[in-house]
Amino acid sequence: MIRTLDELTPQARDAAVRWLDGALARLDPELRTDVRDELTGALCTNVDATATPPEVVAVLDDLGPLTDPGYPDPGHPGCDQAQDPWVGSFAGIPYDWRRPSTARIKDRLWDPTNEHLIVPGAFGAGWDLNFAALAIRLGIIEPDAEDVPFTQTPAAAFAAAKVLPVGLAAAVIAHYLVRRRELPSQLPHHWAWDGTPDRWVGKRVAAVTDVGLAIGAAGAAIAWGRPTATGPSHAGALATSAAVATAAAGVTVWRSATPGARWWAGPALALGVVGAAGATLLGLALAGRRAEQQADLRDAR
Amino acid sequence: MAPAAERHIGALRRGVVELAVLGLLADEPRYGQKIVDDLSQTPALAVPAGTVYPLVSRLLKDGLIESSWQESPVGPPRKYYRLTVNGTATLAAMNSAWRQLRGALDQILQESS
Repeated sequence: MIRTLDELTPQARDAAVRWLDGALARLDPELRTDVRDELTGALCTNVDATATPPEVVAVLDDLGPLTDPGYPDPGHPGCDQAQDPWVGSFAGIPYDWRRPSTARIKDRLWDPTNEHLIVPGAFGAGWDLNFAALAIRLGIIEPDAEDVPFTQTPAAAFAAAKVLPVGLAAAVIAHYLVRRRELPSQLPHHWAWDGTPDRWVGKRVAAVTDVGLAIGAAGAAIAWGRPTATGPSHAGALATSAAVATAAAGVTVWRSATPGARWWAGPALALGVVGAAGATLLGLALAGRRAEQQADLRDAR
Repeated sequence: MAPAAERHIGALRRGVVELAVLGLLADEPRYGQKIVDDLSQTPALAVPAGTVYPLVSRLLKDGLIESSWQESPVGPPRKYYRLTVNGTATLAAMNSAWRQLRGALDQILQESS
């Protein structure tokens, strides 16, 4: 028995500290100091000053893995968030600065098992709308409509979902081709809070930006349709493509409109972007639900 | 009831709902709303649908239950859940663990009261 870890050899002490640091990382930060004291006390009771590093670790291992019922366990989906410094909240506003992924975008925008309409955003600071919760509240789908969303969605539905970003990209290209002469040489690229243009850019730059964004979204929608893509990530990718293509088309229209105060244009554009993503996910989910239902009912007959 | 007490009781309830759902499905296949309704008939186990559906989803993912759509005589088709072989074995193990836990806890709580 020893009184403090300092009585151990430096190697044994380092081994103990490493073990404690690793184990305590799985606990609520507020509990760590108290639990560290308890574990250190238990270790000191069961070793003497000549203990080797393996002996120290063996004593600590005998105490068992640390678990905290109030804190996400390592297998819990939220655990990576709880320990990731890029994910958290500040002044009540959630943030997630990890590299965005189509699977995470899908998870946030479409989670039928989560009854909350507003959920932490998939990327950046703020919130996303959980369209699945909205569809459930509107009575369009059931919470358990699909076992795993988008895994039963047929290929034809995914192909149909590409029509929106590809169609919008075609419309943006056609717009700049057809109206290229009649559009003014300078087009707005920033608007004040009331929707009045306050910064301008050359027509060519505006066209390249909008067309590039729209083609990028359409190209991504087509490229993401590769056979190896899983249903959920494919759905997330198509929702993202639809949102980006809608943004490009919306900005194209807004730029080309007669300059004037349109306070509603910004909110309408935001609504359109979010709505395009939501409509895409809803359509894919309904197709998946129908496919799953038909397969089961056919088997039952 | 104090908020802290409510929180701890809620956590206790959520911990056993998984066993309760598996127990209900061992009795007979049920659809989601039926599981929610049957649990709510026992006030101690009453949990909102927002708790039951994620739980069912996790049980499905773990392969403890399986689902299939069936025609309903009174409305649209419903998705029924039933235990898998793995789920039946897990239920038996959880049931055994539950009995031991209950006995041990009863003993501790009687001694402290």
